[in-house]
Parts: sequence; structure tokens; C-alpha cells
Amino acid sequence: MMNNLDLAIISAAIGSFLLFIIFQSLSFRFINQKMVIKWLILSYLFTCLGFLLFGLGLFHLSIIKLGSTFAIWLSMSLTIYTLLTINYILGFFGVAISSIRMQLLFQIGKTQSKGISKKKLLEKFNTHTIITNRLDRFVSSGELGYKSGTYFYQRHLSYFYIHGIIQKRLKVWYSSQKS
Amino acid sequence: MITIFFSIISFLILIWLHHYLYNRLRPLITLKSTLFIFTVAILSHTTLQFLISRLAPELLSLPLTSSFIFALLVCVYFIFLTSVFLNDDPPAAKIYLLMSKYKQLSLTKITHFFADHTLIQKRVNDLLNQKLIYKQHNLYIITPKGQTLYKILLVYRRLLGWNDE
Repeated sequence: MMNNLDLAIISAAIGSFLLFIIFQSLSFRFINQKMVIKWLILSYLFTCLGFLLFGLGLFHLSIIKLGSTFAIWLSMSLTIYTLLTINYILGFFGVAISSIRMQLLFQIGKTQSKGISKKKLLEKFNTHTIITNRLDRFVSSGELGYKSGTYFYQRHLSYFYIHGIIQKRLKVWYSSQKS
Repeated sequence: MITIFFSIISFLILIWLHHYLYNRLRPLITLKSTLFIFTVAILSHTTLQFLISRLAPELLSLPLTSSFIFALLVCVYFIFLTSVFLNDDPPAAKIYLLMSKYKQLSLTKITHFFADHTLIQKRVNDLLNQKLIYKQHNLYIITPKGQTLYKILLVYRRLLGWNDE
């Protein structure tokens, strides 16, 4: 059976996630598009901070007591909020904003029923534009350095590194045949 | 806390089971059938959680939390699996792994690791296969199904104040 703690965890996690969406949507209207990752992380952290302050506020107002129940509520809500955010970034935001398929669909969709030839499509969207856009984002977020035409590896642990490693490992694991 | 442990163990069993089925029944295990397997797993796990919490509430006290954690972990795993099934190499992750290997590279050298065929043409073919676009007299035209997705993307991009280019 569902209990009050169960509902309190889910409500806090969904509330935090909605706050994250609002904060992200508002902040993205004013930021440089190359600073996407930095602002996604900041939006996530600001919401975490807001959530912690909310929890402390409840404690201060004596609505809840510090103890194992409070610790479970806090840790489980933050876990679900983090998982919701990861799902949103990887499954929706990433697909809508930077997925090559969706960008191609977007370019083709802009022409409506007139259509677009492969040549024109490649003029607007090609390997060079894809790579330079991503390199610009890496440099802006400080993950890569750039000097005299050369890009330098700067950060050892980043979102893209973790993402790339997970995908690489999964590909190897799924391509390995069982004897 | 045992409920959370139960979710993580169930998730690990599902991953192992999916990998086992993929190896044994490779042609049958596609992205669509994976989605079906994962949906069934989420529904079964949720039902089991609520059943156990009703029969033995001292054993499983947070069925909703546990079901959410399991479902969200499965969703993240499914997102990662899509690139395995579509045989994609997301360029951002690929660039970053290249840079971590070579430490410094010029734009020309980075571009050499990518080709229009794998980066663009393969994805255009996927859009054609998914019937989001069609080809007529050398022109790519959006289908009604693609148009719906295009409108969702447009609304979302405008909500974020995102540049259309």
C-alpha cells in the first residue's frame, strides 16, 4: 500500500523536476547557445539547492522532524529528481536540440511541401557545421581549449566523456557473441 | 530501503536478461521489441511491488518510489540502447573521446574522423525508413507524420528561445 512518505517523495521529486524545467526554459532564453551544458548543470544544481532549502524550511517550521524518515525523503526525492532530469536531458532535450536526425528533419520541415534537394540540405547542414558547432560548445564550456588552430583536451571528467564511455562499452558488450 | 535495493537488483536482472535474449534471438530483438520487453518489465515490477507491499508492508514500504526508480533507470538504459541499435556514434561524444586519446588536434584532423555518409546520409535514410520524410524527384519532402514531430520541435525550440538556424 502507498503511504504518506511514498507520496511525499514522489510529490517533492516531480515538484523539483517541474521547477528545473521552468528554470531551464527561462534561463535558456538569455544565454549563449554555446553554453548549453553549463546552464543545464546550473539549472539542476539551483533546483537541488531550492529543494534543500524547502526541506530545511519544513524542518524549521516544525512540519517535519530530522531523523531517518527525513533522510529517506530527502535522498529518495533527490534520486528520483536526478533520474527524471537525466531522462529529460538525454531523451528529450538532447534529441530536440542537438540530434542530427532532428536537425535534418527540421531543415526539411522548414521547406514544407516544396522539399529540399540533397545538395541544398548539405549546404545548410554538413559534417563541417556539425563538428564546428560541437567544438564551439566544448570550448565555451571549458571542456576543450583552443589556440592557433588547435584544440586541446582540458578536462578529464565531463558529461560527454561519461556519455561516450557508456555508449562505447554498451556497443562492445552487445556486439560480443556468446560462445 | 530494501525497496530501493529490490529496484536496482530487478534493473540489473532486466539488463542481463535483455542482453541474453539479444545474443540468443538476435534478429527478433530490435528496438521495437526492446521497448515492448521494457514496458512489460516496468508494468510487472510495479504490480509486484504493490502486491508485496500489500501482503507484507514491513518488507516493502515504498512501492511507488521503488517503481519510479526502476522505470526511470529502464528509460535511461533504453535511451543509451537506441544508439547501439541504430549504430550511431554521437559526434559530440566521439569528438571528446578522440580528444582524450590524442590530447590535441586541428579542425581538419578532427573532420577526417567523420564522413558525410555516416553522419548525414545514414540519418537521412533512417528518416526515410521511419516515414518521417519521403523522396520525390530528387527532393526530400516531409510527411504528415514528420510534420507533427517538426511542429513539436518548433514549439519546444521557441519555448527555449532557440535559434532556428
